[in-house]
Amino acid sequence: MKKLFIGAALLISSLSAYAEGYQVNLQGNRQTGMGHTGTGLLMGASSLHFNPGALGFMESKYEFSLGASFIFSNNTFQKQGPSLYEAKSDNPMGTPFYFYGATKLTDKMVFGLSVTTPFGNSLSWGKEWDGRFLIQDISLRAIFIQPTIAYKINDKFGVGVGFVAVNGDVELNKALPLTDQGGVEGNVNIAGNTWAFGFNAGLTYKANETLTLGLNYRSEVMVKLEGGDATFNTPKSLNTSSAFPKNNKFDAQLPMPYNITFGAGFQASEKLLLALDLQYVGWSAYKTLDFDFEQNTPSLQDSENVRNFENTMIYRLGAEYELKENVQLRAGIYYDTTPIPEDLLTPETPGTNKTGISAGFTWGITEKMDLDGSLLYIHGQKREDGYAPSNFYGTYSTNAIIPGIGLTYSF
Amino acid sequence: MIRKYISHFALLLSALLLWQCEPNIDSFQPSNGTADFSSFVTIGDSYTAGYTDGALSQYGQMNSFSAIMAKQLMSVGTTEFKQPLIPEGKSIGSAGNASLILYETGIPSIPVAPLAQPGNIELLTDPSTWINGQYHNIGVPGAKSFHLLAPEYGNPALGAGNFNPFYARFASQPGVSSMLTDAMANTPTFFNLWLAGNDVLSYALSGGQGNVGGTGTNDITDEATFTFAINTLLTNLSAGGAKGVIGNIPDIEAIPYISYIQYDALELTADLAAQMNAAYAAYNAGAAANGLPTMDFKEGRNAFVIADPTYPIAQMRQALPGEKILISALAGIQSEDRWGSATPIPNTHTLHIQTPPFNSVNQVENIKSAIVSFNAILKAQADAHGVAFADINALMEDLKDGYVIDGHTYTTAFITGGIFSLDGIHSTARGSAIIANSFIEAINNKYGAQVPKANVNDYITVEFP
Repeated sequence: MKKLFIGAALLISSLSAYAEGYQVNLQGNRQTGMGHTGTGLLMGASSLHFNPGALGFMESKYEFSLGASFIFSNNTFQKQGPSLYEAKSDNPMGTPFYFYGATKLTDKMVFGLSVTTPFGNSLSWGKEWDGRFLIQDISLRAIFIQPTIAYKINDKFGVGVGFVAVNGDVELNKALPLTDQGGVEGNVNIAGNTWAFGFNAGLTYKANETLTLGLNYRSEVMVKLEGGDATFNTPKSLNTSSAFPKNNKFDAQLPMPYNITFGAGFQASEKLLLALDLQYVGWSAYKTLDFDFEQNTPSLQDSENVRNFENTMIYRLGAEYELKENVQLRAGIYYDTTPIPEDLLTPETPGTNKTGISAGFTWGITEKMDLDGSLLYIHGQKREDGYAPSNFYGTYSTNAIIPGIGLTYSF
Repeated sequence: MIRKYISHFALLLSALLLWQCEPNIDSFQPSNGTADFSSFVTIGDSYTAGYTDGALSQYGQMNSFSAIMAKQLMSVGTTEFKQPLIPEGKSIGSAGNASLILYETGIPSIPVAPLAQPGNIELLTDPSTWINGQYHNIGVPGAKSFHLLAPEYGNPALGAGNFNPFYARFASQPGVSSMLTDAMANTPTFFNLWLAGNDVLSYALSGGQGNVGGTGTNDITDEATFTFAINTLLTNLSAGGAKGVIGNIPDIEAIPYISYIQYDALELTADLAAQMNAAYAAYNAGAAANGLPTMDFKEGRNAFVIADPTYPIAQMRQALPGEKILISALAGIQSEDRWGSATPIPNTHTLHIQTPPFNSVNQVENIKSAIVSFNAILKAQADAHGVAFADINALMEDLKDGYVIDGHTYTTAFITGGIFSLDGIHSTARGSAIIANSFIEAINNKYGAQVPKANVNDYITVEFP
């Protein structure tokens, strides 16, 4: 087993280059502990996100699971040489969370509701840093609320589909190269909140007692923001309706890309469960980030920013070992390729190919109550690149440590 | 048993936590290559001195391209860069003015405009304020190539108007030392020589009121003198084995003072156009009789009316494409005299091309061909003396079309372009950083050095009210 595992890890690290945009794959401590696999596993209520098709196989009458992760991330930037400039982000702790609740309506039919945060970005380079005309800080969060129906067709097949309502919230700050006579530089704050909709469908096939396969499709959700607030702070003589109107509005849209994930779960022995996920992410939907301002002036035109993301694949492997009836230990690894093409790398999403290494545990506190914990370390490959339209280049490095904790209650 | 597993697991987790909490950075390592930067001097004109916003001030000196270069060279061996600083808060321009600042005009079409207050004239006129001594920055506003060799250039005994007080105020021995000997007093190991164009620009800024091939204030320097001066400077500066870099002259199209006001930027309403056509009816009758163009005005954009002493009809005509209206005409255009429409723009504020009946001097062509010749001489001299060559002319050409640096697009536009200060001739601090980086690039290429570039966004540009 060990040999197989190491072999697979080598295979992954030899695959060539690509990262993960603003997707946040932390939707369950059990799955996170196993390299965020789960599409081919029967994981009870948390299947609501990973594969609604598996939900029909839920064993208990009721199951609730909730938890959160705490993202401590670091980004560093070293300007393209010859330069002595270096910067380090001061990112606020990100706190993605999940809630799953499911109940059996009949022997074959399960209803569930999930609340997750599968997309987000929380990055702060500071007000003064060298790339401030591109971005100072950004906070992006999408909350997915998903009521779901799952049906177990027979002992081998299960299907499920959920309707997804998304609340998207964004706030970002950029400096403007306009200085007043007190030396204060201008700034624009962009903020908005809106709703959008999509769906999540899945299929599970139990090939035999030991092998389970799953296929999950989470649709693209195009978050269209209309009438967001664009607040311009510029020198007084320019903060006018003919230059930079102070309280402007904007329209913009940001795609939450589709995900197609194939997963397999293999009960290698009574105590050992292995999992594999191949997750294909439809990032090519993110072509441009355009801000259409309500009031345009000769100084303030609509802003068009090329992104041209590319579809990516994430390769995941995980294992769970049952140490004791009420203690499971987990480990996993994944390789996440970046959707961001050469010369289009911005400091707002400094993506790179990333390797994630995880560990986790579940401890059955009582018959009904489990404590789930996970720890994920993400190492991003150093990437020397930049954003050609802004002529801003350097070497970006990134890593993150993400502990998570949760509870599962079933009866 | 379980406890043992858990403790192993905890150990593994804590190792993971400690392992690379922050990504490693392989920091950039500066290097001096084959050059020795320990004694760095700059020698040149107003750009080198740090003249900006129409005056010399401590702020401008601290943010001159030469001071920015010196700061960057500190990481590869330069130990000191002493400048003849103007006292903090004071400033003085060549017209006796202080540093220009932008003010709100209250006029919607021109919301902001530069304003000049009287400057600290005593810094030039009162020798007790002078700080004669040894400096690393030998930049003198107004200096032409041959001035750098002449002790008279800083000799107050010659009387006001016959010497340059911007040099006399800091020359080691006014009237005895020259800019070159003051530079050599530092026994330089590395020098920067940039004469950004007074040899031709003085002619341009005077509206072409000088000769081609002379040494008068408004003349275009003759090529032999220019060549001799540059050759003498480079021979002396590199005599002790010092290395260096020289820059060339930007084209006038890149300089807002000369290129900002378009020849046809006279905006007229239908009423005003009709009034003008009536007022110039007699002129047009005369022009038509002589087979020369009439002046016809229409609603919208029109060519300005300019004075031309060589022109047979009323010594005035409409400006032609390619002709230049200097920024010095702006106040007159906006005044009640209505320069360019009601009264012709005086020829000290314009640069002419040649037009029928071909009596006039083609001032624009004189300037352009002089710049081409001087730049060829500078390149040849750089090659002959084996020094690095920074193509500032090419840099300005790039900037003219809009040049993106670290998230912002710079242009050579007046006030809003970010490169040029409020005088339309000299650079802002940020413009200076961009110029300094051009010199650094030339140094790195020539001497295999790794001098770090200045962070352009660390420097400020035009400040708005």
